[in-house]
Amino acid sequence: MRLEGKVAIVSGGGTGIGAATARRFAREGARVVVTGRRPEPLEAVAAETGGRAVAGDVGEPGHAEAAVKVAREAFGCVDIVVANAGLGFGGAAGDVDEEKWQRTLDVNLTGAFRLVRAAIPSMLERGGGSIVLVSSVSGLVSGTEGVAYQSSKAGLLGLARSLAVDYGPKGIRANVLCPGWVVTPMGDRAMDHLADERGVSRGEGYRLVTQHIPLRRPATADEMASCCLFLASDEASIVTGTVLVADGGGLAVDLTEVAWEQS
Amino acid sequence: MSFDHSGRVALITGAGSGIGRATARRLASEGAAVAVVDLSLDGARETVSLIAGDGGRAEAFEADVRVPAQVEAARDGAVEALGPIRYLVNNAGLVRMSPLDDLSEDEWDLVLDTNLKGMYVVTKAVAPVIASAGGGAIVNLSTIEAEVVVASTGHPQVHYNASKGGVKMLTKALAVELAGRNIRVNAVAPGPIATSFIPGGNLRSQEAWDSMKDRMLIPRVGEPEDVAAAISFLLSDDASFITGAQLPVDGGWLAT
Repeated sequence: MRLEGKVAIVSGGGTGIGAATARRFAREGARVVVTGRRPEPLEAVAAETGGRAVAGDVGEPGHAEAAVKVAREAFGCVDIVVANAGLGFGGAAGDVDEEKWQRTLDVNLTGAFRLVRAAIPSMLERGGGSIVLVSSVSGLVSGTEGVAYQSSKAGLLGLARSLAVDYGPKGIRANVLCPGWVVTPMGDRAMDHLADERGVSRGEGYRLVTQHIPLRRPATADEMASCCLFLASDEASIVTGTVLVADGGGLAVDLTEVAWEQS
Repeated sequence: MSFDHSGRVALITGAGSGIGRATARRLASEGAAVAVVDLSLDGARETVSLIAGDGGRAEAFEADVRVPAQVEAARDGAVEALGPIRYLVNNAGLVRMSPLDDLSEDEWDLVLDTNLKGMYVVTKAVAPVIASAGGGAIVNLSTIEAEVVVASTGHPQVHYNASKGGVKMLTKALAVELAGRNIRVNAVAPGPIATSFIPGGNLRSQEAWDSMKDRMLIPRVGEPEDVAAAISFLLSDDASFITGAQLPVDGGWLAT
């Protein structure tokens, strides 16, 4: 029980990495507040974990405060924030419309910032806390035509370092998880798009995008939840301002190698 | 018990003291049987008796990681005594500090051979055993000094920096090559950790803390147990999608 007595807020907690993280945290003794846009999956996760659900949009002002209020009223405080809510729109810088750019930044970056900002007073009262920002390998290296997503995910790295510097001396740690491809509803949508283009199945889509990474498969949401758990827990009590890359080895490979593999 | 290593056999080099010893004790407390390998058999035996005192299982082996025959003998002894090895922690290493003008070729070779070649020697000996056992995980000890030169100490150590920069890339290359044999390979990069690693240095002294406190966002020096916790995580099934990564355990040193 690595999170005994801890209270955690997990954004994007209705599905995917967020839901898996909420479930894992609950099994490790934490009381969990999950937030997300759609009430049904959130309520299911809350019921399953004995936690609370706060439906709302992290891109909208007021949502973060509402989540923290529920956590404090139900469980007394906030010790851990996993800022996981995210979305993605395609588009290169010359093509993406400004509304989509803004929406991506509002949810992926400003949403994380707001959630953290709302939780900091409670963490300071508790004498410390742990923040995990779920970024992406896209925060470190760029895919094609995703300027808003790439920029928002890179922004999370700066946010974490800034939090680590400003709040480390006050007991709050902040770290980033950078997953590669993960089998989640968001991953499924991306794979369906690829599958449509190529005339293949979703599973074949996942195979195509992971065929050159060392582990040759996408991650499960549970595998990312266990990374969030390590960073959130006291096991990582001297780990802050860092980036944990959990990508099956993808970033270790120079993808120009692919030319040789295919020849 | 945080991570479940029951039934797994771990071989740890440099486990007669410091981070290696803390890692050996931690893995043993989580169910692993540990082959404690060290240049000093006395140190290794002391670690084993500490583990035995905790109710764990371990065996001591003497080996210089630079010498393949010694490493292979320790590996064979470990397999015979404890069973098929699933985890390897390449921890053995040393630091020397000399300005370039005074840095002898012998000292350069000592540092590079121990810190970098030693990992090649040990991994080459042990990886096939891990692969035959169905796979497992390797953690290499890197350092924040694989990323930055800590010049504030006024003790130049180009050979140490070079060796650990090599470890960082060795880790990635091994991760790519060994993935097909179901072996994950990662590194931890400790910051200042209170061990006897630095000759003549005492990281628990006020003087040492004053020299590092501006870089330590978390206001304490690292303990060997902090690094052991990160190693235990990276070896565990909780890290099953992590390979080729380097995890700083540095109090935030690299973030500033």
